[in-house]
Amino acid sequence: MDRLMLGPRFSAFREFVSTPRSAVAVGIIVVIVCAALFADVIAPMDPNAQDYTVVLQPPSLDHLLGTDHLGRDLLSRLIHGSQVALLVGVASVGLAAVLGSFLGLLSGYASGLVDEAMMRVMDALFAFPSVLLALGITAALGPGTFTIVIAIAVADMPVFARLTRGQVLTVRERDFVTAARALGAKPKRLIFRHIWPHVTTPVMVMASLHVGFAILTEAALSFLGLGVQPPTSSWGGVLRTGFAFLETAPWLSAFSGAAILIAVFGLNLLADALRDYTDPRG
Amino acid sequence: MAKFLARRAFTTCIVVILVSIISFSIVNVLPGDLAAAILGEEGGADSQRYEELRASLGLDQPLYIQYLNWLTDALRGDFGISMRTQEDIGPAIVSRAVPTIQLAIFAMALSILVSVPVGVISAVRQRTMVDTGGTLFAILGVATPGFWLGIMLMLVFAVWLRWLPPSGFVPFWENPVEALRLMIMPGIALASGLTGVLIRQVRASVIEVLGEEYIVAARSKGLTERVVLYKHAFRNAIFPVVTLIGLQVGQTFGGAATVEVVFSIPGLGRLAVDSIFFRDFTMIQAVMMFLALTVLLTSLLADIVYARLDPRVRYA
Repeated sequence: MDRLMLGPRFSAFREFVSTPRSAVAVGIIVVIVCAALFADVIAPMDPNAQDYTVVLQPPSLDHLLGTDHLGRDLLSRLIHGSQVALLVGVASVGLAAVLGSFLGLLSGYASGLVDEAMMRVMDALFAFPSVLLALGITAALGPGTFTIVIAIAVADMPVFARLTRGQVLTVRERDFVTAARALGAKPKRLIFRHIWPHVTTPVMVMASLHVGFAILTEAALSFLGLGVQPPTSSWGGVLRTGFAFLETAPWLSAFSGAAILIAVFGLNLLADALRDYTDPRG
Repeated sequence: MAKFLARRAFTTCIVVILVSIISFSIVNVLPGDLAAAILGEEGGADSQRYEELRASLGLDQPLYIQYLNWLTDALRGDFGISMRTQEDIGPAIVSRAVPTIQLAIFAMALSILVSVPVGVISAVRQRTMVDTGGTLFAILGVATPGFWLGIMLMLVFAVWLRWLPPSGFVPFWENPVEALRLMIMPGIALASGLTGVLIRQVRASVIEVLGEEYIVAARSKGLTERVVLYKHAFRNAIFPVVTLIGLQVGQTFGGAATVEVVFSIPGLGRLAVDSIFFRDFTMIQAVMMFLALTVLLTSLLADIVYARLDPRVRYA
């Protein structure tokens, strides 16, 4: 295909993936996204199909990563588990980023008492260890995938609110904002047209980092039995089963944890590469 | 300095009140109330007993009165009685805090011991293989689920090699050797994430300080690289690290929940998880409140330490 037809966005992407670090990051993420999207096609077996003739089998040619205590194929369960990880990671951080940045924008722009009040509420939310706050919220709303998304979003919101507010405070004093105000721009226009574009990049970088953290939190909640409920396959849930059979079937723990590690590693690497790419000074 | 601390203390007080409101309300949006939970399924049908119990617990009062009652009792150190074990919550939390605090201190010390040298070397050898290795190690640390690392360590060193006891807890002052043997694996598990975060912060702030003019001045007056690094650069680079350690206390407590479950450590994290499983409302409230308060106080403490260390803050 003619490269020119692909436009500037594509060449920016090519430039971005030209370093080994971002190539590895993009590679890992593409693999996980494909696993999640095409789980039904890729997975060798039904992730919930029980087969009592092959209980707790170590990895073999029939079951590449072995089987669990119900004879379910581990590889298929991990492939399907990527759906939960990505869904929870992206949905919760998306929600946290939207709500948090909105509050941060208001807070930074309004300043004064409104700012003070909103930031103290964020401080209070931030004081709770995020896993614990998420645990508390799941306890209140009852376990389940939707609850986890809400719980992680609430726990993560202060990070985005603080980040956005900080950006707004530096941007609002810049000359182009003063100029726009002098031209008679209303607050709504000032915030969304002039200030917001300067906030999106750091928010995107922070979000890519936090999708990884959200996956870790989801894994922790599911490991504790308060997250995604069985029989839905999640990496933390498989790890929970694996821990119960640590001595007889260590592959369950090893591979499910490795799946979490690789996914979060890829996302952190991406966040790192994005930050360097968007902020050459750093 | 005094003005800075006074303002900081005042905002902390406001945040404490908000924290108490959040802790109180999380439990109060739980379905069903305390009285129904105490009476259980059969007792709940007896409406007269239910109403009496509600009245005696103050549950027939409006929510804000209930909150104020809870708060004034809590301020006197009275958090009520656990619905599950019937024990006094205050003393229960204090005794369960010991393992968590011991483990957290051990993990943080471990983390600082590893991350400071790795971060400094990465910064001094910027853009070399050593630096790449250090950064990769840091990202891996952040990406590894701590409790999974703990499970893997347990598999290798307790189940296969049998070098270390698989689980349990001993207070340090009772038997230091055994305490350390028991804390090595959970300590490493809890330290991994923090170590990754700290390495990156140490590296970044050393690099920033090395670009300052006073470093150029120190070098140009003929000081050795060693003196420049330790006397001039490192001392200035450590300030942001102190703040970050203060901010990471909360994450360390959060990580302790899963690590304590893996290693059967009777700490606050496990207490929180158990209370949620058994719907022990009064205990959940108190544990959440206690942990958030500890986080707020350590962050205040980190600011005070920072101000003591850095004259620029003190005289500002």
